[in-house]
Amino acid sequence: MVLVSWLLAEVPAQAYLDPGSGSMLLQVLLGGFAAVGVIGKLYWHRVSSFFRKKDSSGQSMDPRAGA
Amino acid sequence: MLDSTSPPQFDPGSFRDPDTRVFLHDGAVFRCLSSRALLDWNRLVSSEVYRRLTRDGALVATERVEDPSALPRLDGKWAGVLKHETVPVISYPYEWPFEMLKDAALLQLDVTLVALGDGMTLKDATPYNVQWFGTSPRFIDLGSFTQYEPGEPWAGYRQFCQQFLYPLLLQAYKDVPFHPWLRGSLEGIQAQHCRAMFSARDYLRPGVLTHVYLQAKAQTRYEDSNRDVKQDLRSAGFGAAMIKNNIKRLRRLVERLEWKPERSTWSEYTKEHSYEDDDLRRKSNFVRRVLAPRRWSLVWDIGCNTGTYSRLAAEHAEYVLALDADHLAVDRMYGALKREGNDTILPLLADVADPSPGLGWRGLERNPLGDRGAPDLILCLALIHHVVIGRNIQIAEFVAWLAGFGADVVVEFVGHGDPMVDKLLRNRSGQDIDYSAEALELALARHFKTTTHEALGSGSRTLYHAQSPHRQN
Repeated sequence: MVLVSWLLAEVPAQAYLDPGSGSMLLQVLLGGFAAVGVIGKLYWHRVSSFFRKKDSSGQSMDPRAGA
Repeated sequence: MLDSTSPPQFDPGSFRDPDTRVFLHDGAVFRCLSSRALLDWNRLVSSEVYRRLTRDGALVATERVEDPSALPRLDGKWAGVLKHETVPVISYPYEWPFEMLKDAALLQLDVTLVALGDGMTLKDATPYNVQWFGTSPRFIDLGSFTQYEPGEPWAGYRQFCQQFLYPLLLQAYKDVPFHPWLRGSLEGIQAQHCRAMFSARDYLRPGVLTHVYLQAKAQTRYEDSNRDVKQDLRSAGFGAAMIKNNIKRLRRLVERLEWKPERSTWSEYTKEHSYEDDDLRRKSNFVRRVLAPRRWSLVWDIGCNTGTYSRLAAEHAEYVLALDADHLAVDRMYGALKREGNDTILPLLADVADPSPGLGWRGLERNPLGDRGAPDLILCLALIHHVVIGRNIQIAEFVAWLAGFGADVVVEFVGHGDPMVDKLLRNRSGQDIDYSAEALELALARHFKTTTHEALGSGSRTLYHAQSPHRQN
Protein backbone atom coordinates (compact mmCIF):
# COMPACT_ATOMS: atom_id res chain seq x y z
CA MET A 1 0.00 0.00 0.00
CA VAL A 2 2.81 2.36 0.93
CA LEU A 3 4.61 1.45 -2.29
CA VAL A 4 1.48 2.13 -4.37
CA SER A 5 1.06 5.52 -2.68
CA TRP A 6 4.69 6.32 -3.34
CA LEU A 7 4.44 5.31 -7.01
CA LEU A 8 1.30 7.39 -7.49
CA ALA A 9 2.86 10.29 -5.65
CA GLU A 10 5.69 10.22 -8.17
CA VAL A 11 3.24 10.81 -11.05
CA PRO A 12 3.93 14.41 -12.04
CA ALA A 13 1.08 16.85 -11.58
CA GLN A 14 -0.81 17.00 -14.85
CA ALA A 15 -1.22 20.50 -16.18
CA TYR A 16 -4.41 20.50 -18.23
CA LEU A 17 -4.05 24.22 -18.83
CA ASP A 18 -1.43 25.64 -21.20
CA PRO A 19 0.20 28.45 -19.23
CA GLY A 20 1.66 29.96 -22.45
CA SER A 21 5.43 30.23 -23.05
CA GLY A 22 5.47 34.04 -23.11
CA SER A 23 3.33 34.30 -19.97
CA MET A 24 5.59 31.81 -18.15
CA LEU A 25 8.72 33.80 -18.99
CA LEU A 26 7.04 37.04 -17.95
CA GLN A 27 6.51 35.51 -14.51
CA VAL A 28 10.26 35.73 -13.98
CA LEU A 29 10.14 39.51 -14.45
CA LEU A 30 7.15 39.68 -12.09
CA GLY A 31 8.86 37.56 -9.48
CA GLY A 32 10.44 40.53 -7.70
CA PHE A 33 13.80 40.50 -5.96
CA ALA A 34 13.70 36.70 -5.58
CA ALA A 35 13.86 36.37 -9.37
CA VAL A 36 17.09 38.35 -9.92
CA GLY A 37 19.26 35.22 -9.81
CA VAL A 38 16.84 33.37 -12.13
CA ILE A 39 17.01 36.17 -14.71
CA GLY A 40 20.81 36.04 -14.51
CA LYS A 41 20.85 32.28 -15.02
CA LEU A 42 18.38 32.43 -17.93
CA TYR A 43 20.60 35.00 -19.64
CA TRP A 44 23.70 32.97 -18.90
CA HIS A 45 22.08 29.85 -20.40
CA ARG A 46 21.15 31.84 -23.46
CA VAL A 47 24.65 33.25 -23.91
CA SER A 48 26.34 29.89 -23.29
CA SER A 49 23.92 28.01 -25.59
CA PHE A 50 24.63 30.61 -28.28
CA PHE A 51 28.34 29.77 -28.06
CA ARG A 52 27.64 26.02 -27.87
CA LYS A 53 25.59 26.28 -31.07
CA LYS A 54 28.52 28.09 -32.71
CA ASP A 55 30.89 25.33 -31.62
CA SER A 56 28.65 22.54 -32.87
CA SER A 57 28.10 24.27 -36.22
CA GLY A 58 31.88 24.74 -36.48
CA GLN A 59 32.36 20.99 -35.97
CA SER A 60 29.78 20.11 -38.59
CA MET A 61 31.79 22.10 -41.10
CA ASP A 62 34.78 19.85 -40.42
CA PRO A 63 35.11 17.65 -43.56
CA ARG A 64 36.14 14.73 -41.33
CA ALA A 65 32.88 14.89 -39.36
CA GLY A 66 30.47 12.08 -40.12
CA ALA A 67 33.01 10.34 -42.31
CA MET B 1 -33.86 8.14 -12.29
CA LEU B 2 -30.30 6.96 -11.89
CA ASP B 3 -29.39 4.19 -9.53
CA SER B 4 -26.21 2.38 -8.63
CA THR B 5 -26.27 0.39 -11.89
CA SER B 6 -26.41 3.41 -14.19
CA PRO B 7 -23.38 5.57 -14.98
CA PRO B 8 -23.57 9.17 -13.75
CA GLN B 9 -24.69 11.99 -16.01
CA PHE B 10 -21.63 14.20 -15.82
CA ASP B 11 -22.10 17.96 -15.83
CA PRO B 12 -21.32 18.96 -19.44
CA GLY B 13 -19.32 21.93 -18.12
CA SER B 14 -16.86 19.92 -16.01
CA PHE B 15 -14.78 18.22 -18.71
CA ARG B 16 -11.71 20.47 -18.85
CA ASP B 17 -9.67 18.84 -16.09
CA PRO B 18 -9.61 15.11 -16.93
CA ASP B 19 -8.76 14.25 -13.30
CA THR B 20 -12.09 15.37 -11.82
CA ARG B 21 -15.67 15.48 -13.07
CA VAL B 22 -18.88 16.69 -11.47
CA PHE B 23 -22.29 15.04 -11.50
CA LEU B 24 -25.65 15.68 -9.84
CA HIS B 25 -27.50 12.94 -7.99
CA ASP B 26 -30.72 13.36 -5.99
CA GLY B 27 -30.23 17.13 -6.01
CA ALA B 28 -26.73 16.91 -4.50
CA VAL B 29 -23.41 17.74 -6.17
CA PHE B 30 -20.67 15.10 -6.39
CA ARG B 31 -17.15 15.18 -7.80
CA CYS B 32 -15.33 12.07 -9.06
CA LEU B 33 -11.58 11.97 -8.52
CA SER B 34 -8.95 10.04 -10.46
CA SER B 35 -6.27 8.29 -8.39
CA ARG B 36 -4.01 11.29 -8.93
CA ALA B 37 -6.75 13.73 -7.89
CA LEU B 38 -7.55 11.56 -4.85
CA LEU B 39 -3.95 11.88 -3.72
CA ASP B 40 -4.22 15.65 -4.10
CA TRP B 41 -7.46 15.63 -2.08
CA ASN B 42 -5.93 13.56 0.71
CA ARG B 43 -2.98 15.90 0.80
CA LEU B 44 -5.26 18.95 0.84
CA VAL B 45 -7.72 17.76 3.46
CA SER B 46 -4.95 16.99 5.96
CA SER B 47 -3.13 20.28 5.33
CA GLU B 48 -3.01 23.62 7.06
CA VAL B 49 -4.25 25.10 3.75
CA TYR B 50 -7.59 23.31 4.10
CA ARG B 51 -7.97 24.12 7.79
CA ARG B 52 -7.29 27.79 7.20
CA LEU B 53 -9.44 28.21 4.07
CA THR B 54 -12.32 26.33 5.69
CA ARG B 55 -12.07 28.48 8.82
CA ASP B 56 -12.22 31.60 6.61
CA GLY B 57 -15.30 30.29 4.76
CA ALA B 58 -13.40 30.44 1.47
CA LEU B 59 -14.28 26.93 0.27
CA VAL B 60 -17.56 25.29 -0.55
CA ALA B 61 -18.24 22.74 2.19
CA THR B 62 -17.02 19.33 1.01
CA GLU B 63 -16.76 15.80 2.36
CA ARG B 64 -15.46 12.49 1.06
CA VAL B 65 -18.15 9.92 0.24
CA GLU B 66 -16.89 6.87 2.13
CA ASP B 67 -19.48 4.49 0.69
CA PRO B 68 -20.42 5.38 -2.91
CA SER B 69 -22.57 2.24 -3.40
CA ALA B 70 -25.78 4.31 -3.41
CA LEU B 71 -24.41 6.55 -6.15
CA PRO B 72 -24.48 5.91 -9.90
CA ARG B 73 -21.96 3.29 -11.04
CA LEU B 74 -18.50 4.79 -11.58
CA ASP B 75 -16.01 3.18 -13.96
CA GLY B 76 -12.52 2.14 -12.92
CA LYS B 77 -10.98 5.50 -13.78
CA TRP B 78 -12.45 7.04 -10.66
CA ALA B 79 -10.79 6.33 -7.32
CA GLY B 80 -12.90 8.49 -5.04
CA VAL B 81 -15.95 10.74 -4.77
CA LEU B 82 -16.52 14.03 -2.96
CA LYS B 83 -19.86 15.57 -2.03
CA HIS B 84 -20.12 19.36 -2.24
CA GLU B 85 -22.50 21.77 -0.57
CA THR B 86 -25.06 22.88 -3.19
CA VAL B 87 -24.73 26.42 -4.51
CA PRO B 88 -28.21 28.05 -4.40
CA VAL B 89 -28.00 29.40 -7.98
CA ILE B 90 -25.00 29.05 -10.29
CA SER B 91 -23.93 32.35 -11.85
CA TYR B 92 -21.23 33.38 -14.30
CA PRO B 93 -18.76 36.28 -14.45
CA TYR B 94 -20.58 37.88 -17.40
CA GLU B 95 -23.52 38.32 -15.00
CA TRP B 96 -21.50 39.82 -12.15
CA PRO B 97 -21.02 43.54 -11.56
CA PHE B 98 -17.51 44.96 -11.28
CA GLU B 99 -17.23 44.60 -7.50
CA MET B 100 -18.29 40.93 -7.63
CA LEU B 101 -15.66 40.07 -10.24
CA LYS B 102 -13.13 41.98 -8.14
CA ASP B 103 -14.03 40.08 -4.95
CA ALA B 104 -13.90 36.79 -6.86
CA ALA B 105 -10.43 37.74 -8.17
CA LEU B 106 -9.22 38.52 -4.65
CA LEU B 107 -10.56 35.17 -3.42
CA GLN B 108 -8.77 33.34 -6.26
CA LEU B 109 -5.49 35.10 -5.40
CA ASP B 110 -5.88 34.51 -1.66
CA VAL B 111 -6.64 30.81 -2.11
CA THR B 112 -3.63 30.40 -4.42
CA LEU B 113 -1.38 32.27 -2.01
CA VAL B 114 -2.45 30.14 0.96
CA ALA B 115 -1.91 26.97 -1.10
CA LEU B 116 1.60 28.05 -2.14
CA GLY B 117 2.42 28.69 1.50
CA ASP B 118 2.07 24.98 2.20
CA GLY B 119 3.63 23.32 -0.86
CA MET B 120 0.47 23.26 -2.96
CA THR B 121 -0.80 25.24 -5.92
CA LEU B 122 -3.89 25.52 -8.11
CA LYS B 123 -4.17 24.09 -11.60
CA ASP B 124 -6.08 27.09 -12.95
CA ALA B 125 -7.39 30.56 -12.12
CA THR B 126 -10.85 31.02 -13.59
CA PRO B 127 -13.85 32.91 -12.18
CA TYR B 128 -16.02 29.88 -13.03
CA ASN B 129 -14.42 28.27 -9.97
CA VAL B 130 -16.00 30.90 -7.73
CA GLN B 131 -19.69 30.82 -6.84
CA TRP B 132 -21.89 32.89 -4.56
CA PHE B 133 -23.97 32.37 -1.46
CA GLY B 134 -25.68 35.76 -1.66
CA THR B 135 -22.75 38.18 -1.49
CA SER B 136 -20.29 35.62 -0.05
CA PRO B 137 -17.96 34.13 -2.63
CA ARG B 138 -16.77 30.52 -2.22
CA PHE B 139 -14.11 28.63 -4.14
CA ILE B 140 -15.86 25.53 -5.48
CA ASP B 141 -13.25 23.59 -7.45
CA LEU B 142 -11.55 21.50 -4.77
CA GLY B 143 -10.10 19.42 -7.62
CA SER B 144 -7.94 22.39 -8.60
CA PHE B 145 -5.56 21.97 -5.64
CA THR B 146 -2.43 20.01 -6.45
CA GLN B 147 1.10 19.59 -5.17
CA TYR B 148 3.52 22.35 -6.17
CA GLU B 149 6.51 20.98 -8.08
CA PRO B 150 9.65 23.09 -7.49
CA GLY B 151 10.56 25.11 -10.57
CA GLU B 152 6.98 25.19 -11.91
CA PRO B 153 5.54 28.58 -12.92
CA TRP B 154 2.02 29.57 -11.91
CA ALA B 155 -0.14 27.61 -14.38
CA GLY B 156 -3.11 29.95 -13.98
CA TYR B 157 -1.35 33.31 -14.46
CA ARG B 158 -2.35 33.83 -18.11
CA GLN B 159 -5.89 32.63 -17.37
CA PHE B 160 -6.13 34.94 -14.37
CA CYS B 161 -5.21 37.87 -16.61
CA GLN B 162 -7.64 36.90 -19.37
CA GLN B 163 -10.63 36.15 -17.18
CA PHE B 164 -10.17 38.38 -14.13
CA LEU B 165 -7.56 41.11 -14.55
CA TYR B 166 -8.16 42.38 -18.10
CA PRO B 167 -11.95 42.62 -17.63
CA LEU B 168 -11.39 44.58 -14.41
CA LEU B 169 -8.71 46.85 -15.95
CA LEU B 170 -10.88 47.66 -18.97
CA GLN B 171 -13.88 48.49 -16.80
CA ALA B 172 -11.88 50.51 -14.26
CA TYR B 173 -9.59 52.42 -16.63
CA LYS B 174 -11.59 52.69 -19.84
CA ASP B 175 -15.23 52.21 -18.73
CA VAL B 176 -15.48 49.34 -21.24
CA PRO B 177 -18.06 46.80 -19.98
CA PHE B 178 -16.54 43.34 -19.70
CA HIS B 179 -19.82 41.41 -19.82
CA PRO B 180 -20.34 41.22 -23.60
CA TRP B 181 -16.68 40.24 -23.95
CA LEU B 182 -16.76 37.43 -21.35
CA ARG B 183 -20.09 36.24 -22.71
CA GLY B 184 -18.62 36.23 -26.20
CA SER B 185 -15.49 34.30 -25.20
CA LEU B 186 -15.34 31.84 -22.33
CA GLU B 187 -11.52 32.01 -22.50
CA GLY B 188 -11.68 35.70 -21.63
CA ILE B 189 -9.86 38.63 -23.19
CA GLN B 190 -6.60 37.92 -25.05
CA ALA B 191 -3.58 40.01 -24.04
CA GLN B 192 -3.13 41.50 -27.51
CA HIS B 193 -6.80 42.51 -27.68
CA CYS B 194 -6.64 44.09 -24.25
CA ARG B 195 -3.46 45.91 -25.29
CA ALA B 196 -5.25 47.31 -28.35
CA MET B 197 -7.77 49.00 -26.03
CA PHE B 198 -5.09 50.98 -24.20
CA SER B 199 -3.26 54.09 -25.41
CA ALA B 200 0.44 54.75 -24.69
CA ARG B 201 -0.64 57.03 -21.83
CA ASP B 202 -2.48 54.13 -20.21
CA TYR B 203 0.84 52.28 -19.85
CA LEU B 204 1.48 54.56 -16.88
CA ARG B 205 -1.56 53.15 -15.07
CA PRO B 206 -0.79 50.36 -12.58
CA GLY B 207 -0.63 46.92 -14.16
CA VAL B 208 -1.01 47.90 -17.81
CA LEU B 209 2.65 47.98 -18.85
CA THR B 210 3.56 44.66 -17.23
CA HIS B 211 0.48 42.44 -17.29
CA VAL B 212 -0.95 43.74 -20.58
CA TYR B 213 1.76 45.25 -22.80
CA LEU B 214 4.70 43.03 -21.85
CA GLN B 215 2.54 39.92 -21.73
CA ALA B 216 1.14 40.59 -25.19
CA LYS B 217 4.68 41.14 -26.48
CA ALA B 218 6.01 38.01 -24.77
CA GLN B 219 3.16 35.88 -26.09
CA THR B 220 3.73 37.07 -29.65
CA ARG B 221 7.51 36.59 -29.31
CA TYR B 222 7.27 32.99 -28.06
CA GLU B 223 4.07 31.94 -29.87
CA ASP B 224 5.87 29.68 -32.36
CA SER B 225 8.91 28.88 -30.25
CA ASN B 226 9.81 25.26 -29.55
CA ARG B 227 11.78 26.31 -26.51
CA ASP B 228 11.04 24.23 -23.39
CA VAL B 229 10.34 27.21 -21.16
CA LYS B 230 9.29 25.08 -18.18
CA GLN B 231 12.60 23.23 -18.25
CA ASP B 232 14.53 26.49 -18.64
CA LEU B 233 12.75 28.00 -15.64
CA ARG B 234 13.29 24.88 -13.57
CA SER B 235 17.01 24.74 -14.26
CA ALA B 236 17.35 28.48 -13.64
CA GLY B 237 15.91 28.03 -10.15
CA PHE B 238 12.40 29.49 -10.55
CA GLY B 239 10.36 28.89 -7.41
CA ALA B 240 7.23 29.49 -5.34
CA ALA B 241 8.67 32.67 -3.78
CA MET B 242 8.52 34.38 -7.19
CA ILE B 243 4.92 33.32 -7.78
CA LYS B 244 4.01 34.61 -4.33
CA ASN B 245 5.62 37.99 -5.08
CA ASN B 246 3.66 38.24 -8.32
CA ILE B 247 0.40 37.27 -6.61
CA LYS B 248 0.91 39.70 -3.73
CA ARG B 249 1.47 42.55 -6.17
CA LEU B 250 -1.51 41.46 -8.28
CA ARG B 251 -3.61 41.46 -5.12
CA ARG B 252 -2.63 45.05 -4.31
CA LEU B 253 -3.37 46.04 -7.91
CA VAL B 254 -6.83 44.42 -7.97
CA GLU B 255 -7.72 45.72 -4.51
CA ARG B 256 -7.08 49.32 -5.61
CA LEU B 257 -9.06 49.08 -8.85
CA GLU B 258 -12.21 51.15 -8.80
CA TRP B 259 -14.96 51.68 -11.33
CA LYS B 260 -16.58 55.01 -10.70
CA PRO B 261 -18.98 56.16 -13.41
CA GLU B 262 -20.88 59.21 -12.26
CA ARG B 263 -24.33 57.84 -12.94
CA SER B 264 -26.36 55.55 -15.16
CA THR B 265 -29.97 55.37 -16.29
CA TRP B 266 -31.12 53.75 -13.06
CA SER B 267 -28.52 54.48 -10.44
CA GLU B 268 -30.37 57.59 -9.23
CA TYR B 269 -33.74 55.86 -9.37
CA THR B 270 -34.66 56.24 -5.72
CA LYS B 271 -34.09 59.98 -5.93
CA GLU B 272 -35.83 60.51 -9.27
CA HIS B 273 -38.61 57.94 -9.60
CA SER B 274 -42.11 59.14 -10.41
CA TYR B 275 -44.12 57.73 -7.50
CA GLU B 276 -46.34 59.49 -5.01
CA ASP B 277 -45.45 58.42 -1.46
CA ASP B 278 -48.91 56.89 -1.00
CA ASP B 279 -48.49 54.85 -4.22
CA LEU B 280 -45.20 53.49 -2.90
CA ARG B 281 -46.83 52.40 0.37
CA ARG B 282 -49.68 50.71 -1.47
CA LYS B 283 -47.24 49.01 -3.85
CA SER B 284 -45.18 47.65 -0.94
CA ASN B 285 -48.34 46.45 0.82
CA PHE B 286 -49.55 44.66 -2.32
CA VAL B 287 -46.22 42.87 -2.74
CA ARG B 288 -46.18 42.00 0.97
CA ARG B 289 -49.67 40.49 0.72
CA VAL B 290 -48.49 38.23 -2.10
CA LEU B 291 -45.32 37.23 -0.30
CA ALA B 292 -46.57 36.72 3.24
CA PRO B 293 -48.87 33.66 3.07
CA ARG B 294 -46.09 31.17 2.35
CA ARG B 295 -42.35 30.51 2.25
CA TRP B 296 -41.10 30.84 -1.35
CA SER B 297 -38.10 28.82 -2.42
CA LEU B 298 -36.73 31.12 -5.14
CA VAL B 299 -37.98 34.58 -6.07
CA TRP B 300 -36.77 36.43 -9.16
CA ASP B 301 -37.01 40.20 -8.91
CA ILE B 302 -36.62 41.32 -12.53
CA GLY B 303 -35.67 44.98 -12.84
CA CYS B 304 -34.70 45.07 -9.17
CA ASN B 305 -32.86 48.41 -9.33
CA THR B 306 -31.94 49.32 -5.75
CA GLY B 307 -33.42 46.07 -4.46
CA THR B 308 -36.24 47.40 -2.28
CA TYR B 309 -38.56 44.57 -3.28
CA SER B 310 -35.78 41.96 -3.37
CA ARG B 311 -35.24 42.70 0.32
CA LEU B 312 -38.99 42.42 0.99
CA ALA B 313 -39.03 39.10 -0.88
CA ALA B 314 -36.01 37.83 1.08
CA GLU B 315 -38.09 38.04 4.28
CA HIS B 316 -40.37 35.35 2.84
CA ALA B 317 -38.05 33.34 0.59
CA GLU B 318 -35.12 30.97 0.84
CA TYR B 319 -33.26 32.80 -1.89
CA VAL B 320 -33.79 35.80 -4.17
CA LEU B 321 -32.29 36.53 -7.57
CA ALA B 322 -32.16 40.30 -7.98
CA LEU B 323 -31.83 40.95 -11.71
CA ASP B 324 -31.27 44.21 -13.52
CA ALA B 325 -29.80 45.26 -16.86
CA ASP B 326 -28.12 48.36 -15.39
CA HIS B 327 -24.53 47.59 -14.37
CA LEU B 328 -24.11 50.49 -11.96
CA ALA B 329 -27.40 49.74 -10.19
CA VAL B 330 -26.40 46.08 -9.68
CA ASP B 331 -22.88 47.06 -8.61
CA ARG B 332 -24.24 49.44 -5.96
CA MET B 333 -26.77 46.89 -4.80
CA TYR B 334 -24.04 44.28 -4.37
CA GLY B 335 -22.04 46.77 -2.29
CA ALA B 336 -25.06 47.56 -0.12
CA LEU B 337 -25.99 43.88 0.39
CA LYS B 338 -22.38 43.07 1.25
CA ARG B 339 -22.30 45.79 3.89
CA GLU B 340 -25.59 44.48 5.27
CA GLY B 341 -24.16 40.94 5.40
CA ASN B 342 -27.09 39.68 3.33
CA ASP B 343 -26.49 36.12 2.10
CA THR B 344 -29.92 35.34 0.66
CA ILE B 345 -30.04 37.82 -2.24
CA LEU B 346 -27.86 37.29 -5.32
CA PRO B 347 -27.66 40.44 -7.47
CA LEU B 348 -26.95 39.72 -11.14
CA LEU B 349 -26.71 41.71 -14.32
CA ALA B 350 -29.41 40.36 -16.63
CA ASP B 351 -31.39 41.75 -19.52
CA VAL B 352 -34.73 39.94 -19.91
CA ALA B 353 -34.78 40.75 -23.60
CA ASP B 354 -31.33 39.18 -24.04
CA PRO B 355 -30.77 36.70 -21.18
CA SER B 356 -27.63 34.56 -20.79
CA PRO B 357 -27.77 31.69 -23.31
CA GLY B 358 -26.14 28.25 -23.27
CA LEU B 359 -22.47 28.70 -24.13
CA GLY B 360 -19.25 26.80 -24.71
CA TRP B 361 -18.77 23.26 -25.99
CA ARG B 362 -22.04 22.07 -27.55
CA GLY B 363 -23.72 25.08 -25.97
CA LEU B 364 -23.89 23.10 -22.72
CA GLU B 365 -20.81 24.23 -20.82
CA ARG B 366 -22.55 27.29 -19.38
CA ASN B 367 -26.30 27.11 -18.94
CA PRO B 368 -29.02 29.63 -19.74
CA LEU B 369 -30.13 31.63 -16.71
CA GLY B 370 -33.57 30.03 -16.71
CA ASP B 371 -32.07 26.53 -16.36
CA ARG B 372 -30.07 27.39 -13.24
CA GLY B 373 -32.86 27.98 -10.77
CA ALA B 374 -36.58 27.82 -11.50
CA PRO B 375 -38.44 30.53 -9.57
CA ASP B 376 -41.75 29.97 -7.82
CA LEU B 377 -42.46 33.70 -7.78
CA ILE B 378 -41.40 36.39 -10.25
CA LEU B 379 -41.65 40.10 -9.49
CA CYS B 380 -41.84 42.40 -12.55
CA LEU B 381 -42.31 45.78 -11.00
CA ALA B 382 -42.16 48.85 -13.25
CA LEU B 383 -40.58 46.73 -15.96
CA ILE B 384 -43.18 45.89 -18.58
CA HIS B 385 -43.14 49.29 -20.38
CA HIS B 386 -39.38 48.92 -20.95
CA VAL B 387 -39.83 45.44 -22.40
CA VAL B 388 -42.88 46.18 -24.55
CA ILE B 389 -42.18 49.75 -25.70
CA GLY B 390 -38.40 49.88 -25.29
CA ARG B 391 -37.57 46.43 -26.69
CA ASN B 392 -40.55 45.80 -29.00
CA ILE B 393 -41.59 42.56 -27.29
CA GLN B 394 -45.36 42.13 -27.43
CA ILE B 395 -47.25 41.92 -24.15
CA ALA B 396 -48.65 38.48 -25.07
CA GLU B 397 -45.12 37.22 -25.83
CA PHE B 398 -43.73 38.58 -22.58
CA VAL B 399 -46.52 37.07 -20.47
CA ALA B 400 -46.14 33.70 -22.27
CA TRP B 401 -42.42 33.77 -21.44
CA LEU B 402 -43.19 34.51 -17.77
CA ALA B 403 -45.82 31.74 -17.67
CA GLY B 404 -43.24 29.26 -18.98
CA PHE B 405 -41.53 29.23 -15.58
CA GLY B 406 -44.64 27.80 -13.88
CA ALA B 407 -44.36 30.46 -11.19
CA ASP B 408 -46.69 33.07 -9.74
CA VAL B 409 -46.03 36.55 -11.06
CA VAL B 410 -46.52 40.06 -9.78
CA VAL B 411 -46.63 42.55 -12.66
CA GLU B 412 -46.88 46.29 -12.35
CA PHE B 413 -48.50 47.94 -15.35
CA VAL B 414 -47.39 51.52 -15.94
CA GLY B 415 -49.82 53.34 -18.20
CA HIS B 416 -49.80 56.35 -20.49
CA GLY B 417 -49.26 59.59 -18.61
CA ASP B 418 -46.37 58.18 -16.61
CA PRO B 419 -43.24 60.27 -17.37
CA MET B 420 -41.13 57.21 -18.25
CA VAL B 421 -43.80 55.74 -20.56
CA ASP B 422 -44.20 59.10 -22.29
CA LYS B 423 -40.42 59.34 -22.66
CA LEU B 424 -40.23 55.86 -24.20
CA LEU B 425 -43.05 56.77 -26.63
CA ARG B 426 -41.80 60.24 -27.57
CA ASN B 427 -40.12 59.17 -30.80
CA ARG B 428 -42.53 56.35 -31.63
CA SER B 429 -45.58 58.27 -32.89
CA GLY B 430 -47.43 56.54 -35.68
CA GLN B 431 -46.18 53.09 -34.66
CA ASP B 432 -48.69 50.45 -33.69
CA ILE B 433 -47.66 49.44 -30.18
CA ASP B 434 -50.24 47.34 -28.39
CA TYR B 435 -49.49 48.60 -24.93
CA SER B 436 -52.53 48.65 -22.67
CA ALA B 437 -53.80 47.25 -19.39
CA GLU B 438 -56.46 45.35 -21.36
CA ALA B 439 -53.82 43.55 -23.45
CA LEU B 440 -51.97 42.60 -20.26
CA GLU B 441 -55.12 41.35 -18.54
CA LEU B 442 -56.05 39.26 -21.60
CA ALA B 443 -52.60 37.66 -21.69
CA LEU B 444 -52.60 36.97 -17.94
CA ALA B 445 -56.06 35.38 -18.16
CA ARG B 446 -54.84 33.08 -20.93
CA HIS B 447 -51.86 31.67 -19.00
CA PHE B 448 -52.66 31.99 -15.31
CA LYS B 449 -55.24 30.53 -12.94
CA THR B 450 -56.47 33.60 -11.13
CA THR B 451 -55.51 37.24 -11.17
CA THR B 452 -56.02 39.90 -8.55
CA HIS B 453 -55.18 43.52 -9.11
CA GLU B 454 -55.06 46.91 -7.46
CA ALA B 455 -54.84 50.33 -9.09
CA LEU B 456 -52.54 52.78 -7.37
CA GLY B 457 -54.04 56.10 -6.31
CA SER B 458 -52.37 58.35 -8.85
CA GLY B 459 -54.08 56.44 -11.64
CA SER B 460 -51.38 55.41 -14.11
CA ARG B 461 -50.15 52.27 -12.32
CA THR B 462 -51.86 48.93 -11.60
CA LEU B 463 -50.45 45.91 -9.79
CA TYR B 464 -51.42 42.35 -10.77
CA HIS B 465 -50.82 39.08 -8.96
CA ALA B 466 -51.31 36.12 -11.29
CA GLN B 467 -51.26 32.61 -9.85
CA SER B 468 -49.74 29.86 -11.89
CA PRO B 469 -51.98 26.87 -12.69
CA HIS B 470 -48.90 24.65 -12.06
CA ARG B 471 -48.29 25.76 -8.50
CA GLN B 472 -50.09 24.12 -5.60
CA ASN B 473 -50.98 26.41 -2.70
